[in-house]
Amino acid sequence: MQIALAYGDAAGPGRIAAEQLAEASEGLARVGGLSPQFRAVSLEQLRSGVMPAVVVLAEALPSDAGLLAGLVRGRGVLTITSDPALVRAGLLVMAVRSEPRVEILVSRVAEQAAGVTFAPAFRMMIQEQ
Amino acid sequence: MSRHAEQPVTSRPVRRAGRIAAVLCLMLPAAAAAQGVDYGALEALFDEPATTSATGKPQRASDVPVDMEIITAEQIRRSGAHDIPAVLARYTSLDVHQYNAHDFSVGVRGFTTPQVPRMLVLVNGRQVYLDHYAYTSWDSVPVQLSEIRQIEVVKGPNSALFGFNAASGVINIITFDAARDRMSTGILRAGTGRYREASGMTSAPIGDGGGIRVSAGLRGEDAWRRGFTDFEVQELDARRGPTRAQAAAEGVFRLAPGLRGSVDASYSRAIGGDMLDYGQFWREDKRIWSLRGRMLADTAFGFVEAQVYHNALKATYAATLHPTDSALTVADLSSTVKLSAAHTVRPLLQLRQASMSVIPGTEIRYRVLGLGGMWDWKLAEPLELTTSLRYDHLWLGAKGYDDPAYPYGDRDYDRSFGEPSWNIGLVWRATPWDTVRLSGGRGISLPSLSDYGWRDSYPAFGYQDTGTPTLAPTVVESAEAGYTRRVDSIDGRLGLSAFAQRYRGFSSGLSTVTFAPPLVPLDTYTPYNLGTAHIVGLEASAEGRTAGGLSLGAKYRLSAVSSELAPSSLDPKRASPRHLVSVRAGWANGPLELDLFGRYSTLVRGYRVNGVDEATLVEVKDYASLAVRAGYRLTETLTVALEGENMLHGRQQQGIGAQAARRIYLSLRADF
Repeated sequence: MQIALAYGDAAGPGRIAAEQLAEASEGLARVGGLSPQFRAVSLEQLRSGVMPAVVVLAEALPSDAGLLAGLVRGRGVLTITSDPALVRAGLLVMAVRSEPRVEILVSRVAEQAAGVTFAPAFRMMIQEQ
Repeated sequence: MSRHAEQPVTSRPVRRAGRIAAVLCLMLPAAAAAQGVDYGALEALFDEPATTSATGKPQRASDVPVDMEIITAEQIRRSGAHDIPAVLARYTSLDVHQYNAHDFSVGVRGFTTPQVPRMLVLVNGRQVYLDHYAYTSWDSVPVQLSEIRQIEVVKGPNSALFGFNAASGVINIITFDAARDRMSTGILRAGTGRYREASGMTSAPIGDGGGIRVSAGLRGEDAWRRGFTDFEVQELDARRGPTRAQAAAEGVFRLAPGLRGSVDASYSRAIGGDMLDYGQFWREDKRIWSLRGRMLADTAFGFVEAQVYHNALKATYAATLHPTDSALTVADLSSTVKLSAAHTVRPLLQLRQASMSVIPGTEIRYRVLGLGGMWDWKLAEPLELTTSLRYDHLWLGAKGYDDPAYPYGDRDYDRSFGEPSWNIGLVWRATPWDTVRLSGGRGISLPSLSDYGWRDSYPAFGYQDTGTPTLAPTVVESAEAGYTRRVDSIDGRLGLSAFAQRYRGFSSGLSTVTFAPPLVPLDTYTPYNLGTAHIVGLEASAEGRTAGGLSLGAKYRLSAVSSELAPSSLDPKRASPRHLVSVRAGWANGPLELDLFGRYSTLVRGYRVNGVDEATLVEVKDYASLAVRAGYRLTETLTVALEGENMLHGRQQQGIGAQAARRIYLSLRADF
């Protein structure tokens, strides 16, 4: 399972965050029969390369989120951010907070646009709008 | 998402974020090889166990609108216990009364008599509670501890979800998932009291969404030595060394995209001297088997679950002429649907049929139709209201009961009645650390098939027994308030809850003579309703861990009882202690693990039958007990452990049964 850690500006903090996350996630154990593989990529690289199953947008700007939303439209790619505002705006599918308590927010509009659906049990345990 | 969710990602540990992203892949149906609740993935995602035992809807443990405790597989392994009730005693403030080396009764917040009827116990949603005598025979539950993912304990009535008998609580034992969890475990254990055990399990996912799980266990030991009456030893074979044999298997199949089916079966045989509800040990030989089929279908909005199962029991008692045959068939259909971001509903339909025969040519039976629903309403992000309502209607019947020696005949059994049950719970997550819960409920506990239709006669001893067809069910009404605070610095939590409960209609069981000659030929014992009792109390808990590998936990429960009960030698009023304390401390460093479990209980009382029918009120004073485990991991797969229970005394009176014996065990466990 390919997980892209995407950033907009190659000179910005997003790239550092993405690379940190990719490095820290190396060697993560198999999860439920899946072997996650993380890699830091720019949005430009995503535009021209193979689209992964999941894209985590690090340190996102609204313009980056808009660009990513356009890239994944209808392609079944889950987009994740830490910024709930980008999800409330319907740009990205999911916002995740891990501390102090894991909280997950999903935009039904962005979900539909991206062509993503979730397992029913999971849907019942998260916040949707 | 609450206002606290606006914190940036950079403040959280990046590795944890990576793991969350990885687990989220499993929540995409394209990646999900099977449907339903993926307990392992959801626990990894939310950093806490997931459960459906509170409302039927998948929920995080911290979000449920009931007072719930969940014991994990790791806690079970570290407990050093060999029985599910012993695990419960070490991690919860439940009433866990042990009468013999293998014989337990588990209740909630009070009134825990032997064979307590108001706690419903299930394995993966299949009832293992026995309708014939309305209790759970813990040594007959066909599950090995090593195959349990988690034990979910609901404290308080939950009949609105589970139907009759979830009157004061529910224990749902969740095993590892054959379609998702690949693991095998074998255990050899030997100890004092001629204890010997061999058990094992294997779970193997196969193909795309399928899998098998197989488990088996054999055990034998000596009964506890002291505390039996001469009559019990000589006439009722009650000090026989308890033995058990169990086997279970499950196959899971992916029938179509979004459709999963499974079949499971189990068999157990348990023999030993068990304490009956009226205070006498009898040797029982119980053979129980089960067969179940399940289907689960994912839909765009939720999932539909259906199951049909059949449980059958044959029990032989030391001094009865005929074996008891009992059977239960249950069909469930439910649909859990998230209608919108704020509303989830779960309509359900259940059909049950239970029967029992204690004398050839006789049969007592009932059929139950249950209809209900759950509605979960997210009023605002931190505020959630859950309401469940259910109605069960029972049709009772019997044949072969027209015997002039007894006061009731077939026509007396031709009756029906209905009972509503409900639960309501409001959860307010005031902050990410603080949760407040208000809840209430009404639960129903049916009279057992024995209460309705037991029949036997002992002319040599001058008495006979018969059930009472007009016996009313026990109704439990409850209100409670709870507060929980997460303490991140110790990865722990503090909890405080207060509760008030009213019980109406306890059954006396076959404990008291109600008809006498010349009305009937012999003194006749029949069950009757005892009256009303109240409990008010509180529970407090604290748990956490330190960076040095030390984990600590403490639980306290107060139950203050008042009652207006009719006289009976089955008196539940003082069956449970007023104060109960459970503490634990564990430490792990490299391959070494040390765990201590203490329990303190104040006075309990109960009747013991000395000879044929002479009952004496027994008072058991305060006691403290200690259990220990020291484990050492020899290799990646092998762990050796020294385990001890009742370590403070060689023999100790802990309840109205036999004296608890100190026992030491050595176990070798292989995980591969």
